[in-house]
Amino acid sequence: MHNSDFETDVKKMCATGKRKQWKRILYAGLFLLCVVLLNEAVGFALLPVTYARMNLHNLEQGGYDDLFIGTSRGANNINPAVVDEVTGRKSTNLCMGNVYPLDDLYLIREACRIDPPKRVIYELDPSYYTVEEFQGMADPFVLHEMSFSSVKVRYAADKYLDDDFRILLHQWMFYRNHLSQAPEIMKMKLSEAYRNYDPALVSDAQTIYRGEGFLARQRPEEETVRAESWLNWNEEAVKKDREEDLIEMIRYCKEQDIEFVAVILPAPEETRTANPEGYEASGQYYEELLKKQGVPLIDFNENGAFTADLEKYYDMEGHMYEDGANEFSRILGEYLSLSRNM
Amino acid sequence: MSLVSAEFLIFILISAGGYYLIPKRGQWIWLLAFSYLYYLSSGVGVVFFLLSGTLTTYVAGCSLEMLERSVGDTEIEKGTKKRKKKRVLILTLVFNFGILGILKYAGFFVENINLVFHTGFSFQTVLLPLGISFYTFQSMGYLLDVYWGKCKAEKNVFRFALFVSFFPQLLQGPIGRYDRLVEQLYRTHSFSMERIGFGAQRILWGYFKKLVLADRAGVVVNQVFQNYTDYMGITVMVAVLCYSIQLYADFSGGIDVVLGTAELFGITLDENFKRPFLAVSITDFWHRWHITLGTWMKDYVFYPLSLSKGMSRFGKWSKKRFGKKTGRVLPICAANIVVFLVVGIWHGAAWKYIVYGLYNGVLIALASLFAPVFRKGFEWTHIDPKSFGWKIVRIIRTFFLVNISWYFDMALSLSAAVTMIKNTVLGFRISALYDGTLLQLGLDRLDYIQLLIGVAVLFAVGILQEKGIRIRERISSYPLLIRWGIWMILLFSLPFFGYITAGKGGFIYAQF
Repeated sequence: MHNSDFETDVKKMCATGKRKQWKRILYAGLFLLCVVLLNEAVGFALLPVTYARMNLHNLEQGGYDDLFIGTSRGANNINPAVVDEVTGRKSTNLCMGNVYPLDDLYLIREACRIDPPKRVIYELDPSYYTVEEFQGMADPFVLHEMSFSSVKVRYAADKYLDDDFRILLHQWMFYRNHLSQAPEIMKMKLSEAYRNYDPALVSDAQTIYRGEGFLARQRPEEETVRAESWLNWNEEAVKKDREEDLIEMIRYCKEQDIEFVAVILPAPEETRTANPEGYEASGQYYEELLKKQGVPLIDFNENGAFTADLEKYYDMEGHMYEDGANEFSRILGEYLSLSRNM
Repeated sequence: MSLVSAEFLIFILISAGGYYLIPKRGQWIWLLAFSYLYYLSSGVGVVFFLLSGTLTTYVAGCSLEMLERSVGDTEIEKGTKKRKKKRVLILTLVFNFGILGILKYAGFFVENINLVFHTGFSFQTVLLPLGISFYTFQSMGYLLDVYWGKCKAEKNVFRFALFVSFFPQLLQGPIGRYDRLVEQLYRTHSFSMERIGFGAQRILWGYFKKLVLADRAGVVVNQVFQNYTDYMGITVMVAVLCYSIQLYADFSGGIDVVLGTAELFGITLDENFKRPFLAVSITDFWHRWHITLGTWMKDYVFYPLSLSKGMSRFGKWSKKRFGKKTGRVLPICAANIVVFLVVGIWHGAAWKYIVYGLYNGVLIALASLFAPVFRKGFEWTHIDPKSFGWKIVRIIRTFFLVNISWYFDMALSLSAAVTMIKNTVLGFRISALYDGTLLQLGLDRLDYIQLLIGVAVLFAVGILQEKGIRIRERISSYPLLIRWGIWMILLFSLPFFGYITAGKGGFIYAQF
C-alpha cells in the first residue's frame, strides 16, 4: 500500500507541532464511540422482544431436517410439532409476518451456515409478490436478531444498502413513539427469562408462542367480526426482483443439496368464493413458474384436502386458530411425507 | 445512489478514506474513478451520454485553442479563424444541448405539435440520464469561457472528465465553474481533521433539513397538489407554504450534503443558497436561490444577449419611441424575460414551467421599469426605503410573490395551477386553521409541531448567517461538551424526529 504521503503528512504534523490534529482525531473517535453507545442504549430501551429472536435462537440450535419459511400465515397455521408427529422428522418454523423472498433467502443461508436442513418448505403467499414492501415497525427484525456473520453482512448489504441509512443504523426509529414502554422493555431484557429465551415473553392472551416458531392463536370467549380481506391478484403487478429471489432460493437449495417444496396455504372457503379467479390464477401462475424450476407446489386452495370452514380462522385472510392449525398441520405432514414421490 | 442511502455513506467513507491514503499525485485520478463508479451505479447506458458530452466538449475546447493559436495576421485570416471558431462552438453547443433537448423536451414538443395540428406523432420517452442538465450546463459554460478566452482549454482529457463528472455535484449541482474548480480538483490535499469535521457537520445539517423538514412538509404538499380539486382557501395556502419549506429544505439540504462531501476531499464548491426567504425583491431572491444557475444564466445568456447586435438595435429603437430613460431599461427587461424563460424551460418540459419562468422574468422587468415611480412614491409618502420596517415589508412582499410562483412550479399542470390559485381565493375559510382540516392532510399535531420547531431552527440559523456569523466555526469554539451536545442532538434528531417515508426517498432537484 502506498501510504508514504500519508506518513509524510503525519510526520509534518508532528514536526510542526500540530498536535491539535491528533487531538482532533482522538476526539472524533471518542465522539463516534459515544454515538454508537448511545444508539445501542436507545435501541436496547426501545426495540421490543419479538418472536424473531426466539425463531433465530431455535435455528442456532441446529439439527433440523425440515425448515418452514414464509409469512405470518405460515407462523399461525403450521405447528411443527404436529407435522413432525406425522413425518417422523424434526422441523422448525421460521415463517414471520412482513418477511419477503429476499429475507427468506438469507434465512436459508443462515440455516446452512449453522446446520444445513434436509428440506425447505416454502409457504408461498402470492400477495407478497405484488404488494409494496411494508416499511416501518419491521415486526420480525430478522436482521437485528441474526448473529454476526458474513451472511448477516451480505443480508444487510442486499436488503438495506440502497434504503434510507436510518433503517440500517437506527432500527429503533420505528418505535420512537413508544417511549413509555421503554422501562418495561428494559426490565424484560434484563430478566432471567430473556436470557433463557422464555416463550412467555413473546406470548399474550391472544397468541401463545408454542415453541419452534408456531404462534398459536387462541379462540376469544366471544366471537369477533373477521376483517374482510382477499387476494387481489394481478399478474402484471408481480415484482420481478422478488420472483428472482424465489428462483435464487431454489437454486441455492439445489446447490446445497436441499429439497425444496412450495406450499400455498388454504384460504377460508368464504374468501375464495368472493374472488375465485384470483386464487385460481395465482395458483396456476406459481405452479408454472415452479414447474420450470423443477419444484413441486402443494396448493391447498385447489386440492381440497383441508376443509376450510371459516370457523377455523380468525380472519378472512387465512390465519387459523390453534385447533384449525393443528388439523391442517397433520394434513400438511401427510403431504410432506409423500412429497418425495410427487 | 440516493444521497440519503446507506450505500452513499459507505461510498463517501471509502472514497474519502482512500483519497488520503494513496499517493497525493493520484488523488484526482482516484476522484475520477469514484465519480464514474458513482455514475455507473445508476446504470451502464447513461454513461454514454456523460462520455459523449465530455469528449465532444474536450475536443471542441482543444480545437478552439488550436484555432486561436494558428498563425494569421491579415484581416481575412482573422475573419476565417473567427468563423471557424464560431462553427466549432455552435456545433458543440447544438450537439450537447441537442441531446439534452431531445431527451428532456422532445416528448413535450411532439405532444404540442399533435395538439395544434391534430397529428398523431408519437415519441418514446426515455429515462433522463442522471444530472444531465447540471453537467451539460457546466461543460458548456467551460466551452464558452474557452471561446471567449476567459480560460485556457484543458489538455488532459481525464482531468477534464473529472471536472464534468465530480461525483458530489453530479446529481443536483451546484453548477461549477472551470476557473474556480480546476485548481482545487487537481491540487493535492493533505489530511485535515478540522476540514473533515466541518464537512461531516455540513452533511449532517443537510440531512436535518431533508429528513426532518422537507420529507415531512412534502406529505401535505403531495396530498393537496395531487388532489387539488378537493381543497380550497387556507388549506391550499398551507400546502403552498409547506412547498416553500419542502423545496428549500430539500434542495438546500441536498446541496449541503454535496458541499459537505466535497469538503471531505478538500474541495470548496460554490454556494447555491444564501437565505433566499430573506430576499427583499425577486431580483434579490434569484441572487440567493439556486445561485449557480442564476450566475450561469447571467454570464452565458443575459450578457451575450444584452450585448448582441439585435438588442442594441432594439435599444436604439426603444430610446426613440419611449425616451432615454425607459429606452435604456427596456432591452435589459427583454433580456431578463428571455433569461427567465430559459430558466423555466430548464426546470422541465411543461407549460407550467414556462409560465413559472416568465412570471419571474416579468416581475423583474416590471420592477426595473417602475423603479422611478417607486422612488417618487417614497418621496411622496416620506417612507425611508432603507428603514428596517420597510425592509420587513419588502421581505414579506417578496415571500408572497415567490409563493405565487410555487403554484406553477409544483402544480400538476398549468390549468391545475390556475384552478388552485382560484380555489385559494374563493374558498377562503379561516376556521380551516383550527377545525381539524389540516390534520386530514397526512400529518398529525406532533408532525406540525416538529415542522414548526424545525422551521424556527432553520430561521434562527439563517438570521445568524445573515449577520455574518459562521455557525460551524462558532460552535467549534465552544467547550467540548457543549459542541458535542449540539452535534449529538442534531444527529439523533434524524431518527427521532425525521419523517419516515414509504419509498426509497429522493431529492426534488435530482430529477432535473
